[in-house]
Order: sequence, then structure tokens, then C-alpha cells
Amino acid sequence: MNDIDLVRDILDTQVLDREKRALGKVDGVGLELRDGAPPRVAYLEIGAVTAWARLGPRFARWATRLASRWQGEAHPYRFPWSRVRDFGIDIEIDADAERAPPLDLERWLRDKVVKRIPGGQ
Amino acid sequence: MSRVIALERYVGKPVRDADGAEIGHLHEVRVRAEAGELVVSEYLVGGTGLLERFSLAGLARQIALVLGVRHSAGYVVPWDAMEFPEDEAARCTRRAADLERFSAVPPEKR
Amino acid sequence: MKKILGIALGVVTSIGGFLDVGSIATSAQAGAAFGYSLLWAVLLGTICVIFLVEMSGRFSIVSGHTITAAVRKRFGFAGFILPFAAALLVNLLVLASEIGGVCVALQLLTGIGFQVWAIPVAMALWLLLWLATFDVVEDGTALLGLVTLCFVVAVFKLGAQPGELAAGLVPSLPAQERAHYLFLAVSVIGATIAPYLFLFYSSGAIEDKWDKSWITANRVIATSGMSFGALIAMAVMVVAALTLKPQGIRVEEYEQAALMLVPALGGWGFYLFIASLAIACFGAALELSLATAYAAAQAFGWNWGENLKPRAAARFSMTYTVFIALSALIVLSGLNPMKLTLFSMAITAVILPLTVMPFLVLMNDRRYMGSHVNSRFSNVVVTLIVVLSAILAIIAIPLEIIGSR
Repeated sequence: MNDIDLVRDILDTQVLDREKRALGKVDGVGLELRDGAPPRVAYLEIGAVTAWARLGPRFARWATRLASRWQGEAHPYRFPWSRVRDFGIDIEIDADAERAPPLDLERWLRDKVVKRIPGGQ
Repeated sequence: MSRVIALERYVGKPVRDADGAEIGHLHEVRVRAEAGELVVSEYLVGGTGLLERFSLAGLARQIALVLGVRHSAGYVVPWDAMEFPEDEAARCTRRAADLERFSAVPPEKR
Repeated sequence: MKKILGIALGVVTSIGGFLDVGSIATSAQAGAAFGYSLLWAVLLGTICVIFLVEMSGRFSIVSGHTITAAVRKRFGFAGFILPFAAALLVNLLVLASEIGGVCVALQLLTGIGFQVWAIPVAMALWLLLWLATFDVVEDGTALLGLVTLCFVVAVFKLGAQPGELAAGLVPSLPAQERAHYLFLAVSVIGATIAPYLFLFYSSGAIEDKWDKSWITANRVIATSGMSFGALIAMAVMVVAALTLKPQGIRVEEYEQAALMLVPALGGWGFYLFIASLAIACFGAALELSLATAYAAAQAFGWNWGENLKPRAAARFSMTYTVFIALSALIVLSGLNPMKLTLFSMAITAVILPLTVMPFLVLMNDRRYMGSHVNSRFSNVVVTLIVVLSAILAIIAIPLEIIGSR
């Protein structure tokens, strides 16, 4: 199967890591425009800023400002198509959620908040 | 010389043709796998038969479609006929009359 | 055999989960003010809910997506964010109403003011979600929720006449107090077609890993569960009609409704009312909190699942934690619980179109539904539901202002 529809099948689709843990949604697609050759998909992007920016330029500025106070989200997580291992209802990529930036907030909450609450261990 | 654009910012937004007329919203980007990479073959603009992802107006048209109302055709823009200016709407370098039309819902892939 | 057990459990869950603070409050008010003549509103709401619940189950089974995730994928981040934000706000108010319901029940029991109970109830709610699994939460509240059958028992004991009941199933306008009547009609329907119900159902189907073999089971569960649940809601209205209306008691506060079971069931009736109110509201609060956390996680792509320990789904768990805390604050503020309930039911009716319209598109999208797309009949029904909900949305707020006196 050679043909893929980016908007229908890739954008806003759930991304999972090797162990089928959630990494986020495909919030954006980086398209490289080339002279004399068809544009190619440079990377898929996961990031809250990326998603909110789709609402308009004002949201983009607001989201970037908020995100720069949270280090991880200021730099959206990007991965090339070559990292995709399987793709259907969800997109499975070759990554480890434990180390991937999109889960910085998840890990922070887990270590600083959840684990401190009884029953959260 | 190449540049990378945030494609998601153009999706669901209007597209103009070479005459400056609005020909619809960009609602699909068809790519094909080539040597492990995805390259664009064409863009689908306008038409109620397919996704109008963004607007509620699109939703209303989808409902009309579901109820059996006839839908109008959209445009197929080949990869070499689309420009993505910075902070502006996507622009087609051809005139609407020179573009191929589509009207059917594309065949199911999976 | 396992399927039959699953169906039975599903039905019981739906019955036990049907009644919540909104149904109790609106049915009691409707019965006390207008006797049987608003039974049709429960019927109409239930028919809509059966279709919506069956569709959400079928959707999740066939597509493997939850509704929220599919709405985002299908309509894009920009297209879904507004309905999502609206739903969150409404959920907050409804959760505050449910917690308020439990607090009022405790106030009726102990005489201690409902505000005092806000924090303990919220803590109990949170603790249960934090420590338990999905099955425990669902099954536990379902079984306990069967206490609400006492209303059905009361109907029989009070000797309601089937003929008169049947008359109430046909819509009609009263001679006087039309605004109040219509307002209650809207509120009853809004209380019945609660969006969190089918969003929760869709997530439940995924949590329980329903596959295509569950398609028929899903249809049975949706139809029977919601129907039996509706019978209980109708029973509340009938009991109110038979015990409160003759006394001219208008249900403006929960206290006025508290004695409605006493004529039929004696002294126990008071305690059964309290138990029904507390359990129905607590169960609904659990569902609502989970439904909100599900919605956020599925929309933004986080790890989610009640079967996961909190540390495995930190954002998911913190979402319901924060949500419950905010709702508790609303209850603490001392807003009249009955007024809050009626207001949140009207608001639910207002955002209903936003939540139901995506259904029309999703249920016909072959990429998600394959050969299980909606039949023309189902499409007509959903369209009518959309139209109905749009009408409700438009008239709800003006009626709230005019008709809630």
C-alpha cells in the first residue's frame, strides 16, 4: 500500500512507543519544499504548542510563551517517517516513552506529585 | 534551496488559485512512499464530498451529504502547483479552470 | 456463557447508572408540579439515549477508537477544541451537582449542613478512583445503584393506574404554567441525554476490550439497560405525582422530596430515599470524573485507563483529581444544590447539539465503521436527535430565566 493521506491517516493520530505506551498525538507535520522535486515529509511533530498554534497566530504566541516556562514543551518532539514501525489506528514508532520529551510532564507529575500521594507508588 | 513548513497550519484553511480566487479549503495531502520517505503527489482542495475538517459549515454539508443531498466537486492540485507563502494562505499556481476535478469519495484503503 | 454474564452485568450497570441527581431532581419536580404529564419527556430522552449509547458502543467496537479520540482525528485539533471546552465546563457543573446531591443526602440523614460534607465526599470519591480498578468502580456502583428500584416498588404499592400513566406518555401542553412546563420538559430531556453517559460508555467498551463479537451484546445492553433505567426515572415522577402533588408540595428543595417514599414504604421510605439519592449521585460522580479524565487523555494523547495505577497514567489521574477538587469548591460555595442541578441540566441541553453532531459524521465514515456504518433509519434518527437537541439548546436558556420560578 503506497498511498497515504496525511490529514486523514496521520495528523491527529495517536502515537505509541515500542511498548505501546502513549507518546501523544501527531500535532504537526514538517513538510520540506524542494526545488524541482516533490515536497517530502521531513518529520512528524508532537507538541502542545504545535497543536494550539493551529488555532491561529495569536494562540501560537500565547502557547509558546507558556511553554517556554516549561522547558520540555518549548521544543516539540520530532521524528522522521523512518522511525515508524507500524501504522493503522495508531502510529507505533521506534522510541522509548520513558526517555521521550513529550512525557516530561507525565514523568514530572509522576515523580513529584503522584508518588508523594499515598497509594501512588 | 529548500525550506520546511508547518503543514498543519495550512490544513483546513482557504486556498487561492492563480487569479486570487478562493477555490476551497485544503483538506487532504496525498503522499506516496518512495525509498522509505513520504513524498507529496497531490493536494485536495474544496468539495463537500470529502473532509471539511475545520468548520461547522463543513459539518453541516457533511450532514447534507449523509441525508443524500448531492455534493459539489473539489479540485486536485498536483505537487508542483502549490505554494506555501509564509503567514499567508496556501496558493495554487494554476487557475481553477485548469485544475482536475474530483467528486467521488476516494476508495477505501484499510 | 461469558457473553451472557457480560450482558447481564452491562444491563445492571446501565440501570444502576441511569439515575443521577439530574433525573431525580427533574423527575421529582415534574411529578410534583404536573403529575404524569411529563412522562413523555423521559420516554423521548430515553429513546434518544438508547440510539446514542448503542452507536457509541458500536463505534468503539468497530473502529477501535474512543469517540473523543475519533472526533479529534476526524475534525482536527482546531475543529474539536470548542465542543471539548464546552463539555468540560458543563461536566464541572454537573459534577458539582452530583457531589451536592450526596451532600444533601447526608444532610437529610444527619441534619448537618450539606457544605460540611463537600470535602469528605470529594475525598471519598477521589480515594475510590485512586485505589480501585475500572471493574470495581463500575460493578460496585451498579449493584449498589439497584437500591433505586425502591421507587418502582413504591409505584406498585401506591396502585398507580396504567391507563393514566399511558396518557402521560403522550406529549401535551397544560392550560397554565406553560413556561414552567416547557422548562421542566427541557430539563428532564437534558437530564436523560447526558453526554458523559455515552462518552463513558465508549471508553468502557475500550477498557473492557470489546471486539466485534460484542456487537449484538452491545445492542442488548444499550436497549435493556437504558430502558430499565428509564423506568426507574419514570417511577420517581409517578411517586412524586401520587404523594407530593396532592399535597401541593412543589419540589424547590430536596427536603421537600425526601418524604415521597414514606406513604408507600413507611418509615423506611425516608432512608431509602436518602440511600437512593446518595448512591445514584455518588455513582454518577465517579462516572463523570472518569469521563472527564478520559476525554482529556484521549483528546491529547496521554496514557489513560482506570485499570492503570495512578503512577502509570499521571496526567490522567491528576485530571480527575483536579476536577473533583474544583467541583468540591463549587459545592463549598454554598450554592443552592437544587438550583445548581436544574441549571446544569439546562446547560447540558444547550451543548447537546455540539456533542451529537459529530456522531452523524463518524457513524457514516467507512474508514472508522467499515461495513457497520449507520443504516438510513439510524441516520434519520440521529438527525432528528440533532434537530431536537438544537431546539432544546435554543429554548433552554430563555426558559430557564422565565420558567424556573
